[in-house]
Order: sequence, then structure tokens, then C-alpha cells
Amino acid sequence: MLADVLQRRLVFVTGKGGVGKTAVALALACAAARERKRVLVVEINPYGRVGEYLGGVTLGPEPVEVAPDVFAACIVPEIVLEDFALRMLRIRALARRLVASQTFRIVAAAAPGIEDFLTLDRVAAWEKARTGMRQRRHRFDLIVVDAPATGHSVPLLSTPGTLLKLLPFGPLAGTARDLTLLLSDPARTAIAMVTRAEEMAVNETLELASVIMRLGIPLLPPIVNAVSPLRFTRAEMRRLLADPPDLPPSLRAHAAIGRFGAARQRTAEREIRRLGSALATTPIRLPAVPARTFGPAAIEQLADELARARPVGRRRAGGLG
Amino acid sequence: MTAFRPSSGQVTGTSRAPLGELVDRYRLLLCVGSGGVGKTTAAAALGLGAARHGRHAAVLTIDPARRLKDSLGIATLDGEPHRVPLERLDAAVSGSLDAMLLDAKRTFDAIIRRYAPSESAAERVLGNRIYETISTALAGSQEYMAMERLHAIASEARYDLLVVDTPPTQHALDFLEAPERLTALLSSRAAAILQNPSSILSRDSSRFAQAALAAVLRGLELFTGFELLREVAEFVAGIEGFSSGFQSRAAEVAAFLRERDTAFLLVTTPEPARVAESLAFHRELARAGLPFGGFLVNRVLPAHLVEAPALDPERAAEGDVRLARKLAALHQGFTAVVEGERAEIARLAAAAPGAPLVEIPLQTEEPTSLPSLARITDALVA
Repeated sequence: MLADVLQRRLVFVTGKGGVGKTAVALALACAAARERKRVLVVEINPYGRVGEYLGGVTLGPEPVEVAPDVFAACIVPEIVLEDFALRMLRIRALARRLVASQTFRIVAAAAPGIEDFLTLDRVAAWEKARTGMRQRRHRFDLIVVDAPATGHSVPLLSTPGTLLKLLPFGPLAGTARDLTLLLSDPARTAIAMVTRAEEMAVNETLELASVIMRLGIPLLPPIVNAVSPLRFTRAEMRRLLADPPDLPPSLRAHAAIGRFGAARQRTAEREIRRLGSALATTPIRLPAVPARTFGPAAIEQLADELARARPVGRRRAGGLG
Repeated sequence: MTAFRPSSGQVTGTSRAPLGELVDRYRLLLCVGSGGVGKTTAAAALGLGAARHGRHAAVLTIDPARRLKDSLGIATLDGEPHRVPLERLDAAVSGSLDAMLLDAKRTFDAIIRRYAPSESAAERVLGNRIYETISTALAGSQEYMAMERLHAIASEARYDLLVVDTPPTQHALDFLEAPERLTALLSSRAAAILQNPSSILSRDSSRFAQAALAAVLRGLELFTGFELLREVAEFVAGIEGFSSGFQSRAAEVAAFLRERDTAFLLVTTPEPARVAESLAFHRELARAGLPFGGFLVNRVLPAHLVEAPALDPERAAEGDVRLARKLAALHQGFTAVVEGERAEIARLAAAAPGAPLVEIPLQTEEPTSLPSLARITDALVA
């Protein structure tokens, strides 16, 4: 899994609300930094949690180093619109005044997709940025985008293609073409879908995957977050789920908890299997990281798990690793 | 149709069956929460509870989730009410439950038609190319339209109780602020700007600044590929005549959400991040003067599972040691989870002393049929 990510330059982390996108994005960044990559985490959500998870950092439009070799920045609509105005006006004070006006924002809101387009353009600029002696080195080796939830990630990722179709010769067509090339280049870009081993979450992931495939953007194997690390064998599952449970008197007091755990595992395995076979791949399992407050320590722990996680073949339910 | 039942006033209750009161006496319940906490299911379960108590209820959702159709046992979920086949659950049920989708776009169209001075004025707006963008892109407008539709349904008084599943938002009350954003669009200032785009800048701006502004607007037009400003101007001109009707309507909706037999229920899971969001929603409700009905904590690990004493796996028979170790680990892990969840639930309880707080136990499967939904109803409404 990690090797897949480390080969790329740009990874978008997306999925259903509440599955743990931000945690996984930060863990990916942390794991990549340990492999001596310079990583930039980009948050595209004005109410995002990246800063909070990093232990209370305030993110801005310019990357700041939040841990050794880990940088973070956030993109908000006002900033990209200001960029756009600046591109035309070349005077920042004027651009700022313009963007601050309510009417400008209403007119801009009427221009569908412009914010998304400018957001991608900003990410692409970081991907291209070079540094060092004679600009020989990429400024960032890997950019991890903590993308919005499924509902908004799809329009975000489709913007360049849509624009190109509408205006194949417009002034932004060149940029749109570059963005389309970047997004569809398996050597540079990939989407990491985060999900849970639950029916609803898997359904939404499968719908998302088919849209992303239609857009021609490369997909990484889906990451199933918060899978229970404890697993019963098939024989144990049979004993626990039998009615009454097939347990010696010494274990009977724990029949209820065993049955509950076994039933949850059965559901989770079924959903992971369904996800894997629909996408013809092996989903990555990440165990739940118990943490009262999600912070740097939990990110490190999840990064350990990511480094350890590797496809383990499509095994049967209950098979113990 | 059943008559409007008088409100019972203050919500009270113990932690046993605190929502029975709401389901029996209230006319409008709104489930609010962040994405993925189970709002849709909670709304459906509450509606089912009301119907089983003899009321005529409707559950209104924004999200046409297939699973909701399955769990309600209906084939279609759209802008029209569909009757839930409760007789499959128990033959003697005296109430009824309908399910329908709050279709935001259709509502927006209906409002335009209602307030337009003439049929042709309405057609002009509806046919405008940016109308669709404006009606969907403006943050909160979808949510607001859902509330509009809700108001219309409530006014028909066809139902004793409406249970609404609100869309997931970072800001629970986006839908309340949306009318302000919409009326800002319709303000005279916007209209003036469209006659003279350079008036976005202050009056003393230089000619240079004005020329520069024109360049930016041209850039936006090139991006969108049509004459954006002219279209916006036409849209604003078209809609201007009926903006006062729209504003008074927005005030009506705001008042309707504060009626005495309305309650907002905050749906959450016991995870720390979700609880923090729910507490923020709770503060937002209080600030907006909206009636808080209680917390619904979904997917709580049943505490009875860890009631048995800790297990010593080394005392198990030889053939059972591996299984005993796993059960011991499960017991230990679940005990920690239960403790953590108790602490989170205590934070919710402390934020609203005396307010109802109901826990929905974690199930081993998500509800996919009426009987499984009814189990959740039992947890909510004894």
C-alpha cells in the first residue's frame, strides 16, 4: 500500500463523511516522511481538522512545516478567488478588495466550478514547484490532499474535464488540459478511497469508484479504516454463533460478548469481501486506533499500521492471519 | 384528516423512554447531525414509533438512500408521499407512516412561480442559465428549500407529526441563514452593480481599478463560456419584483421552526469527534433560539456485554485456550470502549442537564427491513 503511494506525487484521500479521511491522510503523510519524503498535506475544507489533529496548528494558504519533512496548508475559496483576481489585476490590494465584496462572490458563485478549478490549479502548482540549487529538486516529493467527502470530491475532480469539453479553445483550456493530464497520469496521481467495513459505507465507495474510473483517474486499493484487529477463526465463529453457543461452562459467561464480536466480524468480512470483489482488488485494512483525542501520537500509530498493511489475498471470513 | 394536536410544552423524561413524549405530542421533529451518524435511520425509527402509537406521521428525507427504502419496505421514495406497509409489522397498528423526499429544486421552482408577478416573468427566471447554478451553488440554499417544502407540507395539516432528516452540514443551521444569502443576491445593491459593474469597487476607485475589474469579470465570463454578467443581470431583474414576498416567506419559515411543538434532535455517535460536533450544534441551537429536543446517541456498544467478570484464559481447558484468550481480549477491549463512550455520553448529558438523551445500541447489522428498524424504534420509544 505504502509503496503504491510513495511512487506517486499526488494522492487525493476521499470517502464518505466520518470514515476517517483526515486521519488516514495524515498517517500517509507521516509514513511517507519516515521514508525521507518531503510531504505536503493539503486540506480542502474550511472546517477541516488537519490543524487540530496536528496538535492545534493554524493552517494558512502557504505551506508551513508542521513536523520534520511534513508541511501543511489549506485552500479556502476566498484565497483561490483572490489568486484568480490577482492573475488578472496584478495588484494584490485591489484583488483583495474585489474578492471581499459580496457581489463579486455572488457573481463568482454563479460561475460553476471556478473555485474547484482554481483549487486544483493551486495543488498542481505545488506539484510542479521546484527548489534547491538550480531548481533541481521538487519542492515536495508527495502531496497528500485531504479531499472533501464523496459528494464534493466528484465535482472537484471532474472540473478540468468538464471545462475542456465546454471550452476547448478558451483561455483556461491550456490549464484545464494540464490538470486533466496530471489527474489521469498513473505515474503521478492516484485516489485513495477510505471506507468502513459497513454496508452503507461500502455502497458509497463502490459508487465513488465507478465515477472515478469514468473520469479516468487512477485508483489505489480502497482503505478500510477502523477494522477490529481481533479475529476469530472460522471454527471459533461457528462455535460462538451456534444456538446455543458451543462453549464450555468456564466460557459461558462470555458467550454474549463472543457472539456479538463474531457477528460484527462476519458483517465486516462480508462487506470487505464485497468491496474487494466488486473492484477486483484487495482492500487495505487499518485497525481502529484507540485514542481519546486524535493527535500526533495516534497519527504515528496509524502510520505504523499503514507501513505494516499489505494486501493479504482475498481470504475467507474468519481466517486468522 | 386528523386535527392539530395541542402542544404539551416542555419536554421532560427519564433516560428510559424520553422520546415517547416527543413522538406522541409534537408536530415537528428535526434530526440534525454530521454525516454518517445515522440521522436518516433515526428519523425513520421515530416516525415508525409515532405510527405505532396511533399517529399519522410522515418521515421526510433529503437523502434518497436505497437502504431507507428497504428498511421502510417501500419501492419508491420521491417528492410524493408513499405509504409504509406497517401491516407487515403488526396488523393492529392504528396510525400510519408516509415517507417522502424533500425535493429542493422543485421547491425553488414552485417559489419562483408563486411569487412571480406573471407567468412570463416566472418562465424568464426559470429559463435563465444561471438560475440552476444560483439555486444549487449558494451554500445552504438546498437546505433552505428543504425547510420551505417542509413548511408547505406542515401547512397542509395532513399529518400529526413530521419527522425530518436534515442534510449533513458542518454548520447545522446553514438552512436558517440561506434566506439572508438569497436576499443579499436580490438586494438593490446587486442590481445596481449589474447596471454598472465597476460599482463593486468604492466610488473613489480610479479608472484604472475599474478597467481592471472589467478584466476580472471578463475572465470569469471566459471561464464560464457565456455572458455571465448579462445573465446575472437578467436573473436579478427577473426576480427582483418578488423578493419581498420571498423575504416574508423566509420569516414565516423561521418562526415555524420555533413553534412550541417543534424540537430539534441532535443525532451523534459516541466518538469524541462526533460528540464535539454535537455539542457545537447544541450551542448553535441555543444561540439561534431553536427548541432542543434531546440527544440521540447512535451505535453505543451495549454495556451489558462487559458485565461478566474479566476472563482468565489460562484457566480454560486446553482446547479452548486460544478462544478464551480472544474472548478475554475482546472483553478487555470492549470494556475500554464502554468506558470511553460513557465519558463521551456524560459530556453530552452535562451540556444539557435534564434534557432527554437516548442511546441506540450498536447492532451487528445495519437495519435493512421494517422489523430491524422497529428494534431501533424500541430503543427510542418504549
